[in-house]
Parts: sequence; structure tokens; C-alpha cells
Amino acid sequence: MKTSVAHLEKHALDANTGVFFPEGIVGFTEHKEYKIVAEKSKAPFLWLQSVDNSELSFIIIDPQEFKPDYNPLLSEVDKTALDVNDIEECQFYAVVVVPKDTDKISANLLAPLVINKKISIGKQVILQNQNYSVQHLILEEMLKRSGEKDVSSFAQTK
Amino acid sequence: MLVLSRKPNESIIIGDDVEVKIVEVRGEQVKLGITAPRDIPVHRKEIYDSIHSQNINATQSKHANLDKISRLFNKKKKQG
Repeated sequence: MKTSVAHLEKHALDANTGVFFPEGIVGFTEHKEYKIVAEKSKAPFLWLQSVDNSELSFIIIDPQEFKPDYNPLLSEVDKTALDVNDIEECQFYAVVVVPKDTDKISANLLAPLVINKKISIGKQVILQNQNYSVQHLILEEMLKRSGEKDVSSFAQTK
Repeated sequence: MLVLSRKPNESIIIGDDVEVKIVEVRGEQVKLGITAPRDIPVHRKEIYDSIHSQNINATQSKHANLDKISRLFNKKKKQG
């Protein structure tokens, strides 16, 4: 895969940064080692690629890219697991689902991947008592913010 | 499955350090109080299940369709 560091420069994590998930990712607990891969033509989307299984990867996105008011709170349990005192020490990514109907592209805002930027330890955190969706529609969110009328006309780009 | 009957304010212990207490029973709803060590995650099962299935769906994402969405992001960025 062709990679580019251009997009990642604004993130604290570099392209091909290894991230270790001590508990794995929900449903994939046996895989703990990942790297973050960027492809310029797909920005702001990134890949979280399993190191030990080349078939396993997730498309991820920094939620701020489409929802600037995303404001998750971490529990003490999660802060301890990530070895952080403050949310500022973390990078958040949402796991993206791209279905056949691209207009329904969604991101999981209830269970973000949270990464300790300093030591590159990650965890899929389940936010407690916070009103976020596991299937937040990205285009609908962008639409809401742009004031356009419907997703299909909005999504038609050449 | 082990089935135990409990009354409000009674509890069960799982292992040495997980306690599940019946806090309140009202009609169809049971309020549980859970005391567990910090490293034991406790979640409502339906939420855990939905995250599980979203993750499975995520690994089957249609990568080719991303270009279009990516262009949309970049277009928007240019517009400021």
C-alpha cells in the first residue's frame, strides 16, 4: 500500500506507527499489534492494520474531521488502562463502516479507539452514559453542518 | 446456567471481588449495583454486542468506495 506522511503530520502519531492494544479490539481480542497506515488519496481516512494478520484491517478516522464538537469523557478505569491522566494525552479514532451504499458510511462514536500518544498503547473504550451512536452517519453529519438538502446530491463529487 | 433467587438489597459474589447487588425491583425493571475491580469491564450486553457487530462489519468495508467520500472531505476543506 502506498503511504504518505502528509496527512499524519497534524496527528501526534506518525505514519506506520505501531500501536499495541493489550486487550485487542472488541471481537478481535487475539490480535493486539497494529500499525496505522495512511494513503494520500483516502485522507482523512486511515487504516489500522493488524501486524500479525495482513487480512485484518479497520478503516479509521479522527472524529474531529466530521464532528468538531465530539467531546468524549474517559472513565477512571480507562485512564488507568491507557496510563493517562488527561484526555489531552490521547488520540481518538472512530472505527468506520463503509457499506455497499456509500451514503450510509458510518463511524462508531460510542466505542472509539483511544491511543496514548506517548507510549502508543491503545484501547477500544466503551463510553459510559454518553449519548453517542455506534453507527453515526458521517455524510448526514457533514450535511447537517453544510446546510445542504439531501445526501445524494451532496455526495455527488467528480 | 446457575439461577439464584435474590431479594432487594441481597447480593451475589463472583470470585473474590465481584459483587452484584439487587438495588431495586420495580415492575419489569431490576436495578443492579456492581462492585468490581477497575480492570474488570462491565457493560450492558446489548451495547457490547452492537460494538462487536460494528467491528465485524468494519473489517468488511468496501474500500473502493472510500475515494468518493475522501474527495468530499477535501473539497469541503478547500471551501473552508
